[in-house]
This record gives sequence, C-alpha cells and structure tokens, in this order.
Amino acid sequence: MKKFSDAITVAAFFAILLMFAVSTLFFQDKIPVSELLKKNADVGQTISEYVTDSFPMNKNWRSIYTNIMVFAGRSRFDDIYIAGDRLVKLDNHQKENSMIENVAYINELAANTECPIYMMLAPTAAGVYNADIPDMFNDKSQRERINDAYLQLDRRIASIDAFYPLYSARDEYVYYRTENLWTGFGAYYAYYESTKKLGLQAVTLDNYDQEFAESGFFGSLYDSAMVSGIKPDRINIFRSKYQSPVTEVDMYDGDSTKQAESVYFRSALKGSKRTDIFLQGDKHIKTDIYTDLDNESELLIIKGSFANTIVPFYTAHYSRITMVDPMKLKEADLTLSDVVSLDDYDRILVLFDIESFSNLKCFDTLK
Amino acid sequence: MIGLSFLYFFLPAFAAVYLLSPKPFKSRFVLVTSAGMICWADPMGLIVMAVCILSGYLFGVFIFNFREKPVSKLLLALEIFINIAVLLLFHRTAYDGADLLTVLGQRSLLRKAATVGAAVMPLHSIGYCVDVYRKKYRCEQRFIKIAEYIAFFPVFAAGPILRYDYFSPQFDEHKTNVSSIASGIRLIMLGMFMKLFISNTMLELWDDVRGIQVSSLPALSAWIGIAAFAFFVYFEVSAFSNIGCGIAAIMGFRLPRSFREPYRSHSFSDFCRKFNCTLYRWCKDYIYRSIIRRGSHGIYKFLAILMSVLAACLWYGTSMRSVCFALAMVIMLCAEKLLEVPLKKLPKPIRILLFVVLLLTILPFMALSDPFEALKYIKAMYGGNQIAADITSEYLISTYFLFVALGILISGGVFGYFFKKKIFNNEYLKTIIQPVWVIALLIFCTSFLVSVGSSLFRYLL
Repeated sequence: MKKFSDAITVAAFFAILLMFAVSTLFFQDKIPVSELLKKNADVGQTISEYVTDSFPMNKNWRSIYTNIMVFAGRSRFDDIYIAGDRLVKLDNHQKENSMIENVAYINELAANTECPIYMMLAPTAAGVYNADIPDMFNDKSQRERINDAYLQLDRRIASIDAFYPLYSARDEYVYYRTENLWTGFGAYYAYYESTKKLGLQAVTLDNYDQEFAESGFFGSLYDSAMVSGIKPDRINIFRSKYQSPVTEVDMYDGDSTKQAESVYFRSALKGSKRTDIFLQGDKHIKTDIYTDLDNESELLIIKGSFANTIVPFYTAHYSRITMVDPMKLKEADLTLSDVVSLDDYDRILVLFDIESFSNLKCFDTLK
Repeated sequence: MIGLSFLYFFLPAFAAVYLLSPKPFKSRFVLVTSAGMICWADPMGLIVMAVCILSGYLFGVFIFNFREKPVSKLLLALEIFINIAVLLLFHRTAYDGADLLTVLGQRSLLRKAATVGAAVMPLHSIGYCVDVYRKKYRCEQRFIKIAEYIAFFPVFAAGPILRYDYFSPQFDEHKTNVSSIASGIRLIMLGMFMKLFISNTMLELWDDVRGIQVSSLPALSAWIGIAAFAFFVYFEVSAFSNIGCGIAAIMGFRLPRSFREPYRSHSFSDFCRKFNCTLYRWCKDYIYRSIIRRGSHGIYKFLAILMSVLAACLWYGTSMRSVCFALAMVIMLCAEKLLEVPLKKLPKPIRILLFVVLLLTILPFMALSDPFEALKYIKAMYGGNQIAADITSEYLISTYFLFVALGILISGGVFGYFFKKKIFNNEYLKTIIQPVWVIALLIFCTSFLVSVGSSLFRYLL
C-alpha cells in the first residue's frame, strides 16, 4: 500500500512539474530570454525573472498567494498596504534627503525667472488615510513633510495647500482604491483650493457633466498585490456643460510631435493603464494645450503624475497650458530651457505628489 | 536551491538524467551538476570547489602514505590552513552578505552571498583528512569518490555536514527506489514550505520591528521581534537542510537529520546538540576533542568550548555579530556548567522556559551588527524604554500571530509528536493523504514562488 502511495506521489509530482515547465517554455508569449539578457547581464537572475513572468496562470498563482496571506492575517505586501477597502502605497522614507535637494532646485528655478511661481505638493492616499495605516509605516506624516518642504521654499514661491481639502473630503471618492493617484474629484478639490492662490475664479462642479469613462478597472496597486475583495475603480471625467475650450493638444516626445483635439484619450481605456486617459499619463516630455480663450494668460506646469488629472480643470482659465515632465527630460538628456522659454509664461506651477517629489532625482533638469 | 527555475526545471531534469544514467556515470554527473550550480551562482566559487577537492584528495593520500612519520602532522596542518583560508575568504553571511574581506574593508571575492558551498566543502575536506590522519579509515584512492563527497551539491546551502565514513557505503551503492524518491519529494516540499511560508514571514516581521527606533521600542514588540529572528534562523537553515536531504533522497542517499527541535532544549549544551547536529558533531570531533586531548585542565576545556562555539557561529557567516554571539553563548555555557546542580533540580518545563528566555536575550548579538545596538535592544526587551506595548505591538500580533503560532508548533515538535505516536496510522488514509498533501504543498509553494520571486534573492543562503 505504501509503495502504491509513493508511486502516485512521484508520478503526480513530476507530471505537474513537467506540465508547467513545458507550458512555460513553449506556450507563453513573452519576450525571449536573449532579449532580456541584453538588458540584464546577470544570467541567473534574468532566467529566474523570465520563468516567473512566463509561468502559466501567473495572476492566479499570485492571487492564491495573496489570499492565503490575507487569510493568515497579513495586510502588507511589500510597499502596498490594505487600508480598509483600499490599497495604499506606503511612503518610502529612505530617500527623504533628496527632498531638500529638490526644493533647492525649485528655488534656483524661481531665482532665474521673473514669472510668479507656485508650488503644490499633493498628499498621496497614504497621507490622507494615515489613520488606517500602522504608525510603524508612517513615522513622519505627509502633512509634516509637505510643510517642511514649503518652509524651505524661497519667499517668491507661493505654496498651495492641497492636503487640507483632500483630507476634509477623505470620505468621498478622492483617491482610487487600486491606483496610486487621485481621482477627478480629488483633483477638483485641489484645483478649487489652488484657484484662490492663482487668483482665478474656480469653475463650480455644477458647470460640469460627469461622465463615467470606465467603471470597473483595477489599477497598478491591485496588479502588484492581487488582493481580492477590493472593489474596482471608476474613472470620472468632468466635461464642461458648455463647449470645451480646448482646441489643440501638442505632445512632444523629443523627436516627434503628436497632435490631438482633446485632453482625454479614450484609447488608453483599452490599454493596461486606464488612468492614461488624462493627457496620456506620463508619456511625453512636453504637452502644450491650446484653448480658445483670448485672455492670453499662459501657464507652465512642471509636472508629476498627479498633474494629468487636474489640468483639464485649468483649461477653463488659460489660453495655453504647457506641461513639462522633468523625469522625461532626464531620460532624454534635456533641460527645461531646451523645451520652453520661461519668459513666455505668466505663471509657473510646480505640481507633484509629496512621495514622488521626495524621491525623484530629476530636478537638476530645471536649470 | 529555491525558485521556480529550480523546482520546475532543474529538479525534474536532474532527477531524470540521474536516475536514467548508468551507475558509473552518476558520480560524474553529480560532480558536473555541482560545478554547474556553483557556476550559476558565481563562477568564482569554482576556485573553492577545486581547492577543496584537490587538497582533500592529495593531502588525504599524502597523510596516509606518511602516516607513521611526523611530516603527516605538517601535511594535516597545511590542509587545515588551506581550507580554513578558503572558508574565511569565500564564505559570505547569507543574512547580510558580509564576509571576512568586507569586515576588513575589502571587496568580496564573490559577487553575491549565493550557494557556492564555501561553508560545506572545506569542512568535508578537513574532516576527511583528519580522520585519515587519526587512522579511522584508509585514504580513498578513487578521485571521483572524494570529489563527489566534498562537492556534494545537495548540502551546499545549509548542510548537513557529511562524514566520509557515513557517506562512503552509500556512494558505492548509488541505489534509489520509488519510496526514496517519494520521501525526497516530501522533504523538498516541507523545506520549501518552511522557507516560503515561515522563514520569509519571520524575516519580514523582524524587519518590521527593526524599522522601529530601538530607543522607542516597546518591550512586547522587542520580544516579538527577537522571537521572529530566532524562528527565521531556525526555519531558514532547516528548510535548506531539508531541501538538500530531499534531493539526496531522490538520488538514493539517506542523509542525517540536522535539527531535532532545538527550541525545546532544556539547556544551552542541549541546544548545541540539537541545532544543526551535524555541524555540532563536526566541531566536537575536530575542534573540541583535538583541544581536550592536549590536557584535561579546566583552561583546555574552556578553550575547547570557546573555539568550538566560535567556529560553529562563524560557520553561519564571518562577521562581528557571529563573534559577539559566540562569546555570549560561551558565557552562558560556562554559567550553566557552574550552576549545573541547582539547574538540574528545576522541573523540565521551567528549564526549557529559562533556556528560551536566555537564548532570546543573547540573540540580539547575532541579529544586530552593532553590539552596542544589541545591548540597547536587550534593554528594550526588559522594559528599559518604559513602554510595555503600544499599537504597533498589537499590529504585529494581529498580523503575524498565525505564522508565529505555526513556528512554535513546528519547532516545538508537535507535528513530529503526532507522527511518532502514529496518530495517522491508518494505511488506507495514509495512501490517500500522502500524495494529496504533497500536491497541496506544491500548489502552495508555487503560488509563493510566483509571487515573491524577486524578493527571494534578498537573502541568499
């Protein structure tokens, strides 16, 4: 009887191994190992990563893992924390020092232009929902970190408080549950607050028609953690009840410029990152948005990911809005002066979330 | 020795070629596989393999041929010196990647703390030559046999440390059967479960506690943290040891068990015997007894304990933390010896509890690289920060309770007890249960390997 049991164990074990090994090697459409080896010289690691990525039913395995761990009591998966009904990307305090450096670059930018300059550091969901996160992952609140950054700003730079309006509206749908971004609502609250500093008359929500561009998507946090039981997200677009002022959108990639007529790119809803519906996300070095307003007021935004959702609201106030992504500048080995002339603009807005602002090392491109 | 590539590609391919190949070819195949594994981890490791095999074989022959002459002693000293040099230069701490060269401010010879067998091969080589010198057995003339013994890849990661006289008869047989293969599979799956489910989680728990400043660490969190570290060390080493024994069982080798519920020990000397038994026996035979033979005076005994414990601790990595922990262990062993009579009068459960508390008290010296920080940590454990527990302690308990409980049950030998008592003794039930739990563990481990693939490389044994 024991022999029979052992034989079944051996046969079943090796049969399963072979089945998945063959499937991994021959039936998965992944980038060939040779291509991956060009990017990473470590053969062992590359092959291990290839096998993991190509393993059949990858998502299902990851889902099994997460569910086992959640059942066992775990609520954190690397830097993703399950805070109630949402996934939150935890702050990374390791690189906090680059915040001081980055503030210095912004001060340097302000010193080189006469143009009024504004700065908005938005909190991420980890900052707004910090009460749901254990203190050990939250040793310094985002509010304090934002205030620290603002205190070090040059006097000429006006700071815009986005924390308070978002924190006050935390029970509303201001952050996606499965993506590390604010929603259209969150962006609107920040926009509303910013208009006070920018000297604009905010367009109230009743001037917009709300459209659900996507009502059941799971963002990148979900893809990383695969936690079941989290409700899918929806993407709200706020369309002006009157005609959209946007006439043209030019997107510059370094060697080519693409044109569009709207700030919303529905093709992104078919892709892997649905939130790229807003100005195609972070794909371009520079994006110029032209409107039919004749006040000739022009705004330059030095942008992080959070800016894409808020910009559609600003189109009601400026004849041209230019967004420049310093990270893309760094990748293309360009500087700000290579793509824009600061004198052409009436205002400059630096808009990042505090996490990215603290960790990015690309602000030397603003020289 | 863990990962999807290992489980789904290496293991079936190796098992197929090994089992189907003719007997004379098997040893060569094992040797080529050992070299291949080392090359995969770091080609520099081939130096370790070559030096250990050649020194073991040649010095074994020379020592045997000159066994009646004083020169044999010199040859043995040279063999020991070469292999200790290899061990110190190439063996990197799996926990933090440190080795002797980094301690001295130099660059490591190996790129990463991967499995190149630098902790095992020198011990095999020395053990074999010392036994030949002690005339325990004749030297082996067949090079391939010595090479296979010294560079037996299943034990590269965490042992067990093999004895040549134990290994030799099995080497001659190279005999395997379905029962042995099934037993190997069970051991591999058990090892993977221990590594992926318990060891990795315990390390994360320890990392969480380490994330809190020691000066504000509540006593409860400090105890939870160090207990997690204790479980991490045990499950990490024992998991790799099980996987090694499993591969060997598939090949038809029956290797000795390295762990016998060490956290149920009633004293530090008992703990030394139960935690990595094969390493303990190696240190006892080749270090402790060698020193004791020189004299029966107390100082020799102290020196023998000191050197054996130091060597055993340094085996886990050449770093200051190993030295500090070894010294703390020696103090405990000496204190235990002095208080032997009153301690023996205590009931066994009290002695176990006392041992566990004392072990956890000195463990921060192993867990933390800075001895002063370790002292601060110990202070926090005993309420030195004036905080008994806080909301973080509550979070740690609620998040990791199941893992810690499972760790206690497994390391406390509860499952072993059930098997010993033959509670699952129904033949028909066993016939069904055994394949089912192996496949369940395979599914379980696969889901972990797919999900934590990249973080597996964070700490490599």
